[in-house]
Amino acid sequence: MKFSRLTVGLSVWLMMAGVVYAQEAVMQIAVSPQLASEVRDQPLRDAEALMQAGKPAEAYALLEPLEFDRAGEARFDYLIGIAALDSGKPDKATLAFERVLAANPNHTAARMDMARAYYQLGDMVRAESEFRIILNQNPAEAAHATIQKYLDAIAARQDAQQTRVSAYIEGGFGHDTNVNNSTGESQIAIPFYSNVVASLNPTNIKTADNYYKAAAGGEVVHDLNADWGVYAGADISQRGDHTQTAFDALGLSARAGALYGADANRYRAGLSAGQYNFGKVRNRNTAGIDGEYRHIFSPGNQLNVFGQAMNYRYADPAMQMNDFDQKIIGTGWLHVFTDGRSSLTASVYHGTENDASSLVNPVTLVVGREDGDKRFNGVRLGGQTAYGDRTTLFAGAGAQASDYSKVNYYFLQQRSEKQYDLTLGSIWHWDKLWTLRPQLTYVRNDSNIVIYSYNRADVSLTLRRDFK
Amino acid sequence: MKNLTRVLFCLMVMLASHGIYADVAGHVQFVNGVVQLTTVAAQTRVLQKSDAVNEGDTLSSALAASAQIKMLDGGLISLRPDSRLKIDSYKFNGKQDGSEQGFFSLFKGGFRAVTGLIGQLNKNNYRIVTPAATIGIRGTDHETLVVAPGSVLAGLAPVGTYNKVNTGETSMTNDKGTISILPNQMGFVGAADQKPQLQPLNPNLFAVAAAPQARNAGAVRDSAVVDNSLEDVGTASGYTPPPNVGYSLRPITATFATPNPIVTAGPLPPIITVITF
Repeated sequence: MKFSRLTVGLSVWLMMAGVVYAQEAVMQIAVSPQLASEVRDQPLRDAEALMQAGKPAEAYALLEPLEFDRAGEARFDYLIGIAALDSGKPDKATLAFERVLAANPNHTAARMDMARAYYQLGDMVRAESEFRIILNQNPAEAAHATIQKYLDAIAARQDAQQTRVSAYIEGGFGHDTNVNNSTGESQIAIPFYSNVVASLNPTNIKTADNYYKAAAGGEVVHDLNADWGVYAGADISQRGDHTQTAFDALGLSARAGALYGADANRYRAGLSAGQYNFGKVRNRNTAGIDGEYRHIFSPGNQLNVFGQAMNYRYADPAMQMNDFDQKIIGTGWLHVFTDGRSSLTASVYHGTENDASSLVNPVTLVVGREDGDKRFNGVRLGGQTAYGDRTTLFAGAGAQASDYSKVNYYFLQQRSEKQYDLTLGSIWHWDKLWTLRPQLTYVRNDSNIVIYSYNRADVSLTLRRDFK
Repeated sequence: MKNLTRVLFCLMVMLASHGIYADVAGHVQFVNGVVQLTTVAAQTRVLQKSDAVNEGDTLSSALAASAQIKMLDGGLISLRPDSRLKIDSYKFNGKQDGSEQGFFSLFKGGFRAVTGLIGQLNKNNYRIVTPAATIGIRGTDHETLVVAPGSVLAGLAPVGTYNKVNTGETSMTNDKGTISILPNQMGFVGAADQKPQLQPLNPNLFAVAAAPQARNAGAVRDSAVVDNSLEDVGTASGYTPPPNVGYSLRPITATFATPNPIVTAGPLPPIITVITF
């Protein structure tokens, strides 16, 4: 009995305490509109932070459940609009921007992103119309430049409709510390001859020179329908050395194939062929197939898988025992940062080169390549960022490890190599179609067989004119 | 007798309820300016955010007014300024069992429709009737406009019905024929006795936002992640062989002097041997 009285008493006390607490809480909320405002503001701040961190999909996922309640708030509507746009949902984005602009037609930021969304939806007519409205309002120079790029792209599409042609011509000069990709050693020990020292032919020793270069190329893409297209292109490049003319190079290449794209998936498959002259003499021919699949997770994130099979056939009879068939498969990732001014790429690949010659070396009696088949794995990283309105800085680096299948007759071991390369440069857009590109490249190949080890630095300046 | 009276009373209440409270079609997500809703009972009120919109209601927007209605099936209707749209029939029980239905009549102005589950499986269960043609869908985001004589839009384009597709596909049908409209195409029918046809998109007609009054542009995102679609990033993420991957371009040769192992008389000149690797 006492227990039940105690229980009832305790319950009443708890209820009263609860009521008082609840009242206090209500009063607390009632007297703190600032707190209520902050609570309401929190998802927007979180979403803005996610956008800053380059996570528009997460920002959209955070805001989308709130859309019915918060639609009509300009800050919310613009934020969910750009989160949708940057995460690959331009249709959703336009609905949000419609709200912003309905309430405030002077909201230039929403109009700009609305135009971007129309472009993404393929609605070039409305994209152009909205971009031109902003252009008439004298936007800042950076925005002006971006709008002009869009207008150029729209004009190119409208002019060409189903067929797009692009071409380029470029020329430049540079200095190469190793025009012949050769070792810096002039004398080498040959294990097969009990390490007797031999002198390498001067053409096989690292030689520096200045050079000029020129290149041109073009590509045509024809849309068969909304999903299918075909492409064809060709390039020619010439490099001439100042004194070491024996290493002058002329390259010709051509490609053609088909494209298929639907929704977030893109496919490309084609044939390619090339000719390479070395010192005014035909050095090798190449021919093969290549393909790529790309999945666009969002405008800022793309995955691709690629493969190619290429035959390399030497023209010089003395080199024909080096003929090989190369196969490469790999996958890559592209990430574009939220501001759209910087991007990173990464790819990994695996490849093989198989002997394709049945010729026998009369001295070593080795069939085909002296070092046999080759297996290699590599990784490449690249990045670029816009610096100011006219300059793009870029960098790329790669590492590749290769192992060969045969024991080398002269060096009594299987060839094994690691190659590293680094490229740094910038592109200065001094006109819409003219660019100037200073570039530095360094390549280092470490081989357990000394004649294949080399390093090379190349600095060049290239002037390019595009035709679109 | 009492029981019979109760049953009759309940039946009357149910019938009356059904007459007054038709099926809910959606709720107002956004409204800007004055948009009026007229019920089947001819009661008119100004639309407010979160209001329910029912089957049989007619929505009328003022000159600079617009609204977005979140539909029950997940679709969305975005009503344009100076428009009049009636929800003729709207039935959705959460299932795509053939009983779902969304029929609309557009008398004037326009609206954008992002379709939901209605019409996704059963295409014939979704349609928009206009004075000149009937619009059907095949899973879509599209915009329909009726340029009525004397309306503001009549100053921008000829009188008739226009249909512009954003995604998916629609059809325009009347007694004179049917056309299919694909993304970013615009269909037009001048009148019920004219054949539907495709026309170039009229950006003034389909402009969503009014022209800005401000002379100077405000701050904008100078660049955005989607701007990369302007550049060819195709090769950036692919495989590009490192420069000069070390293909053998020409034979590597070395020479060394082999001392003659048999010395007979006096020193002999060394034999020069050329090795090709």
